[in-house]
Amino acid sequence: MSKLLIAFLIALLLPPAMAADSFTVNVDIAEGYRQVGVGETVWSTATIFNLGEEKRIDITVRYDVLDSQKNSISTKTKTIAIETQVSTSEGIKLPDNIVPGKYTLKVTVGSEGKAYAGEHSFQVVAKSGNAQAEGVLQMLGYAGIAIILVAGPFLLMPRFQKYNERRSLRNKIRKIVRGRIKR
Amino acid sequence: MGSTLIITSVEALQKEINQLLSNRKEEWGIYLSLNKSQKSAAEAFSKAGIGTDRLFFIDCVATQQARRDVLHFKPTELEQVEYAVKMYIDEIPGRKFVLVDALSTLLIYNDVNKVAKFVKEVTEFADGKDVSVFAFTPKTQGEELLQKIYNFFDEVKGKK
Repeated sequence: MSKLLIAFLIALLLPPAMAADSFTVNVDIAEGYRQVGVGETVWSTATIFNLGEEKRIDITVRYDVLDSQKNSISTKTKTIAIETQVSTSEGIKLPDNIVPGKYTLKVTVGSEGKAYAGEHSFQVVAKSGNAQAEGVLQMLGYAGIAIILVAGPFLLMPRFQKYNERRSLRNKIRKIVRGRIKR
Repeated sequence: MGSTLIITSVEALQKEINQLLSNRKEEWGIYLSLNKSQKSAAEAFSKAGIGTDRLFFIDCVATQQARRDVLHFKPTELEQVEYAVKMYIDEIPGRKFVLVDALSTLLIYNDVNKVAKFVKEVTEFADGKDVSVFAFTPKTQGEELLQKIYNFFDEVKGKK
């Protein structure tokens, strides 16, 4: 009786999907996104096949960015529904202080006890830092141009007025001198 | 040629100006009128039998334009006055001179350093163009200015 009770409790505690299902996980990072800048987001598509019972279940998908020592430096989880197969795209933001180099994106379905994972490597490059700086500089440049366009005429106006006044005075003097000397 | 600062008494000022103009009646003159209007100056010259046909007036006293061939400026517009003097020097052909009547009047409206700078600019420009400058100023006026501008002139007359 007590054995039956224990088995019943175990059955209750174990997630039914995990108990009955097994998965295959394929991870893909599109070719254009296999080089990611520091602090940027790495986008991937995970295709998960349910090789177990054909029924709709909710599964938890965990994303890990692993360094060369297999340490997880960035994590994200989400829950999706699956019946036989599902493809899901997800972006995971890299830390701003990540060291450029080779990393692995690991996608895990299941629990610690019974996990199914797929992975794909990608490269983190310092370029995005520069790109960010370039972006900031570009924005500052645009702001500068906007300021010049708005404030420029006000700054140049006095010079322009002075130039015009002098030109007008010079013409007047020429006219006076020519008029007098003709007589 | 060259520049001359003439320091004289208020009473003798007009007489000395008349004398100078009489001696230079063959030359073109740029007359910078600072303490009387062009009209008053022309009347004074007329009484003394001096023609004004060869004088180009820059009037810094009268604000209303009575003649089209007279330039009017406020006495504070030193940059404009300086530019006008330089333009006249450039535009008038042949021998010519600049007469300033009277320099110390500018001190009523301007800072002494600004006036000194004006004097320096005009005398240097005229010197470069081989044009004579005669600047009159009454005695007992603008002693600080005189101390600052003595060196800009080739000759100073009437200095104590």
